[in-house]
Amino acid sequence: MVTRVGLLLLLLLAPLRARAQAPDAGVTPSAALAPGLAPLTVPLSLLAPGSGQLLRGEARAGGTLLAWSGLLLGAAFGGAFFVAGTGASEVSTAIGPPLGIIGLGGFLTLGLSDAAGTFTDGGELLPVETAWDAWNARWRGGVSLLVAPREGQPGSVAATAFGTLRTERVLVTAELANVAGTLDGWAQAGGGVKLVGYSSDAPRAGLWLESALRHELAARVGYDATRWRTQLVSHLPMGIFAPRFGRITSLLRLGVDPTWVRYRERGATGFELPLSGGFEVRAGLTEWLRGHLGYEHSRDGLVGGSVIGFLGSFHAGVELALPGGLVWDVRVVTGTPVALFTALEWRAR
Amino acid sequence: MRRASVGLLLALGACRALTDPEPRAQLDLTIGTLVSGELTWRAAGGLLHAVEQRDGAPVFRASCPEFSLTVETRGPREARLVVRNVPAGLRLVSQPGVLGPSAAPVAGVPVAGLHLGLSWALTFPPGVDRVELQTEPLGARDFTFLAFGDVQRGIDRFGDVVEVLNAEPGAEFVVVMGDLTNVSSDAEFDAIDEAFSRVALPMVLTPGNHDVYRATPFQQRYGRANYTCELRGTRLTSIDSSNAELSPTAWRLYEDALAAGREQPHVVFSHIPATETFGVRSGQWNSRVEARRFVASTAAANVDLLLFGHLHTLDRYELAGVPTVISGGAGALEERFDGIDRHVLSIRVEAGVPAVRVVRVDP
Repeated sequence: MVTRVGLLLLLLLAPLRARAQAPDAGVTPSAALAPGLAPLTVPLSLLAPGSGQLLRGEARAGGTLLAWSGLLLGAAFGGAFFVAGTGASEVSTAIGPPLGIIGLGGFLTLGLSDAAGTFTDGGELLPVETAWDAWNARWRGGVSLLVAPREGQPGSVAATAFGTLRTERVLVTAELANVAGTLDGWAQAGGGVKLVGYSSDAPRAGLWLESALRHELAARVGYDATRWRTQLVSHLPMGIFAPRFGRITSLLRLGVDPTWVRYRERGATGFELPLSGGFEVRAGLTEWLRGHLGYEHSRDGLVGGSVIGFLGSFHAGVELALPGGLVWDVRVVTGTPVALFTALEWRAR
Repeated sequence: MRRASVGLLLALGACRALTDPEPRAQLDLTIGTLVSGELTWRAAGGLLHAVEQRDGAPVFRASCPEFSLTVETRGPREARLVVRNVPAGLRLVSQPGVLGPSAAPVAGVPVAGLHLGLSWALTFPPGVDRVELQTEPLGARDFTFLAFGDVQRGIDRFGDVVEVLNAEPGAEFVVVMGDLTNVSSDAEFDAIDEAFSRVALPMVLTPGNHDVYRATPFQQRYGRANYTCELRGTRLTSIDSSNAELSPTAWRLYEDALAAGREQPHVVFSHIPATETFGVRSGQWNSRVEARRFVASTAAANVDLLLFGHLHTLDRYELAGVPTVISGGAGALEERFDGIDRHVLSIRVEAGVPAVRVVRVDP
């Protein structure tokens, strides 16, 4: 409960504070960096988000980033200390990992925003790249393929068809998947509502409550599972903070995945209640290319978590804008195992 | 604050890259065979592992108190079998003339300076170059064993645990669910071996994630990480989950063990819980799909008890109807707010049904 309140405060207060600062943020000319110095600001920005802006004379934007990154890093370390100091108790692990996801996700977002913003001299509040970003699309539909080969484990390729309608207040989603070479797969349907909007310029940006029910058939490994994922999802275009960050979007998700598992042969049932969530930083690199980097805490897909303790999987990739509203997404997922994901989808505002 | 700092360091330590589980499982397949001079020793299921030479004879460590082996000679007509980590009075049987003048089982002779060590004199009868030996079956009757997990940095206080283990009446052996050490160092393994030498019972071990930061020390000292054996008619299976996953070879070995134990009482022990009670903390396997595969296979094979460590607490629940206990309370950084400190388990198997009792180390 404390975690949820903390999340809400973090997610809500940041855009609201930025909105209050927006009128005088980023419109004054920035100091030019000495030739050759700009690349050096990248590691600095990643280690101490805001320092790049400070070097450019953007005291307000830089200070805001520094303050928030300190708060987020503090949250992440606080969560880690809480978990470690209590011997990973159930209480602390219900609080620490969410703080870690929020803290590190936010810190990474701010670091990349600062690094990218250091090279730009402002622009539109929400540049044209966001028109085809995933969070900002009214309609999405497509197919995807996940290839996750793992020796000794049955089922390593999944094909998925999916569709989404996101109005300014309501979300409806559906997904159908098949594990190649089997009759296994899953069907998922869900929806969501926007709880808080971040900006009238980006009506779909905001804090959403999203929920989806998924039924999975896994005869190859002897179970069926029904998962009811419920998450708070923040779609935050960083341009709200300052125009120079307009190419960056932060996606933060946090919730739980109550799952009922039925083991076929023995007819026994089980209940699992894992934390779910993650973060993704999405950056428009050009008018037609976007990079993204993220973390997924869930472990119930063909790709599980990393072999380093409590962590889930990480992913990185690019999206390529094609004619006719088509987008080609390619990403590498590093978990158990390392996997390749690709999707071809159509997006429309 | 100091405790929190130490805890954070431990947590960061837990994030160190582990060694790959598949080479460990492959190494398992080589354990149990020793060619020493003109003698070749082969232990069924790899349950004997040569750990040193003593007076010209190999000294084996038994992974389980019941085992069998074959010995082949290309010259000598006599040999000496030395095995440690076995109960006092253990008896071997073989074909006539191998162990002594009679065909009766022969008890081992205690070996001076070798904790729980016994030796037997072997003779190859004329014209016989290959002999088979096995422990006299202990008999399928009710019995008690102890279990614990997760010592790590608690080695300095482990003497309390040793006292509790030695004080439990009627126990025949001890199952250890991994994390004997904190960083797999030789000094830590030496310390735990010294502590084990004060336990009056054989130790039946599985590795934990903290025991495999370096590739081979665990197996060099204790033998196989994945193995199965039969004790008093009950099957006992160790499965190496210290990477929070099973390697392909470990899966194959596990499925063989499940098939072997389908018609008998079966206790499976491993380090990292396949799936913990609910799972918010994710102190479990990397892939829930793989964990469910493990649970489904285990339940389908009628396993009677699952024992895990890794979480420094005590938790009792069921996985697909299989009674399951997580016990990681032998001294590692204790979980707060759970109402229990250091403890071990006492498990009584009556008519093939295990019943678990908790024995507190700290009052």
